[in-house]
Amino acid sequence: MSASAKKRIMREYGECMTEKPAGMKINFDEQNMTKWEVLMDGPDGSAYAGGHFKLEIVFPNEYPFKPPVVSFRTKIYHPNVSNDDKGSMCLGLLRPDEWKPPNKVVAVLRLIQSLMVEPNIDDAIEPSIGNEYKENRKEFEKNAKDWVKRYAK
Amino acid sequence: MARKRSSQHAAPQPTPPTASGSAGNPISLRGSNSPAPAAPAIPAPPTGRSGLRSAKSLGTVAVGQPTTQGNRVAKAAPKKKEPKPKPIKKECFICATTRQVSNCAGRGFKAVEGACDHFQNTCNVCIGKMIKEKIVKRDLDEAVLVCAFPDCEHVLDYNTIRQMIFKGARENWDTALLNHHLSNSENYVPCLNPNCGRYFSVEDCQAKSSESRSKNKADRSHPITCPYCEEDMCLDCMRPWHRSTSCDKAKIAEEEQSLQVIKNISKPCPKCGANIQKNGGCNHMKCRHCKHDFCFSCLVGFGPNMQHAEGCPERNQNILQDPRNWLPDDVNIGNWMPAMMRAAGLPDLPQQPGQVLPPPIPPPPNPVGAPRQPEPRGLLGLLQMIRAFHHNHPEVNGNANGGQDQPGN
Ligand SMILES: [Zn+2]
Ligand SMILES: [Zn+2]
Ligand SMILES: [Zn+2]
Ligand SMILES: [Zn+2]
Ligand SMILES: [Zn+2]
Ligand SMILES: [Zn+2]
Repeated sequence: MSASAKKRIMREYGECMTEKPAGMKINFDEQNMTKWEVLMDGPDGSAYAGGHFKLEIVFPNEYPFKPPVVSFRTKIYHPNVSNDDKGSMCLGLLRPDEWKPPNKVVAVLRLIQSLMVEPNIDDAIEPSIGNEYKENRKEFEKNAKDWVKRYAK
Repeated sequence: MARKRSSQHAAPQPTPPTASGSAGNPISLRGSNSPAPAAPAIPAPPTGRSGLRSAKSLGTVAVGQPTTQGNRVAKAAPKKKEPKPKPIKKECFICATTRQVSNCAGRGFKAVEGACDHFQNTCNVCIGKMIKEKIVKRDLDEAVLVCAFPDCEHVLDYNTIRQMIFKGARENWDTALLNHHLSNSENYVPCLNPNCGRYFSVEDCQAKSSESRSKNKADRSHPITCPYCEEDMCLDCMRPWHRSTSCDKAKIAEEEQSLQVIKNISKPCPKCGANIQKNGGCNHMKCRHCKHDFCFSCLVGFGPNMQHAEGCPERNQNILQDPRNWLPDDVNIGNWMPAMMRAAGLPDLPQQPGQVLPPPIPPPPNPVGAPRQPEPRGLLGLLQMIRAFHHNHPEVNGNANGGQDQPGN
């Protein structure tokens, strides 16, 4: 990773420290600054409320010209998170073709928070969960809460 | 949009045609060999965009003055009395690196008159990297750079960008632009020789080729020869020349050979056919031409109820189809499963004592390359029923806690 990419990541971490975005905690390791661990609270009023989710943000060597890669390390029942051991997310500004260099990780984290409140069904990586969200909201919330109890407490 | 060209192919690089497209916005491109114009002829207005929209910033962001955007200048503007003006430095909005303002291409910042604050504070290195990204993404319809900051649509034009980036980057971009625009023109084909790869005019070469091969009897395939390296190709199927073999057979042979390689690198968009290259990231792709969402691995379109094709590595990641997510290993389905299977019109499961797996998902009729798979409503419905049953009958788990499965991680 180039020195300028590292500078940029440092700068962003600094901004996160001053801004202190609500509902999350960032673990930053200066020895390995290309991988952030984020602890995110399930937003109040969402099906994930009360849960604590561990996320991993990995910065590519080409950062900020390529998007960071976000994955849930805590299992979550969500249409936009892949239901495998990767827990990957790939939508909106996280998509390589939509990412823009001025975008910041904070924006990514806020996007994730908003997706926990309202999933993006049109862009579901788990279409069956997306469909359930659309057609059987009760069942969806039941399942999502079930998973919070099982994995995110 | 057939484009005619009649220049001799003796020239080292053909002069590129103007950009195609109904918008009719000419992009002035020059081959990398031609010199830049001394005085900018009327700069081609950036296509379809607002161009110098932020002309209001003109003058206010003169180089050397601190910008209002919070990014300070390291040293105050030089006083007139000092013999040597201190170099002006500023920090790049993108890479957070402090560099000098200079008029050299490559490093530092170039003072671009009339550019938006963002471009004024984006270093040349970052501009070069953005151009590199454009090349990688084949984002080459327009030879400009649009400001990536929100609500700013300022456009840096081709000539300005060329003055900012390193020579190598400049040449790469020119070549990519050239090839991109040539490849959009029907009459140009790329040479298949990997050491050549140049585009040449079919029309110019056809005559020569058919002359030299006039003995070709049943002319079922038409050879064409690259004017640069003399590589022979088949004009009908655009493969290396395959002599007596038919195009179909050549196609099969090639597919067998290179399917694996091609599969992993680039594929045509299943909707519009644009070449989509995957470089990192997940298999969920969005075509940048038609915005179609699809799985890069199996080419099935994304949407509610989508089902990845048989053999796609993403297939089992769909939650309702992943046995680990809805059936604990020790559930006893003996009594109700066969009835449910019959109700869903599926064959009975073979009895496998001690092992319980969901029924295999029937292969779609035309797995790979099919634009859209039939949605397995019946099966998904069945799986949902099973899951619902499972929720309502925790006792069948033989497991006090209601069928907890193991975290996948
Ligand atoms: Zn701008
Ligand atoms: Zn920079
Ligand atoms: Zn050639
Ligand atoms: Zn052929
Ligand atoms: Zn497309
Ligand atoms: Zn697939």
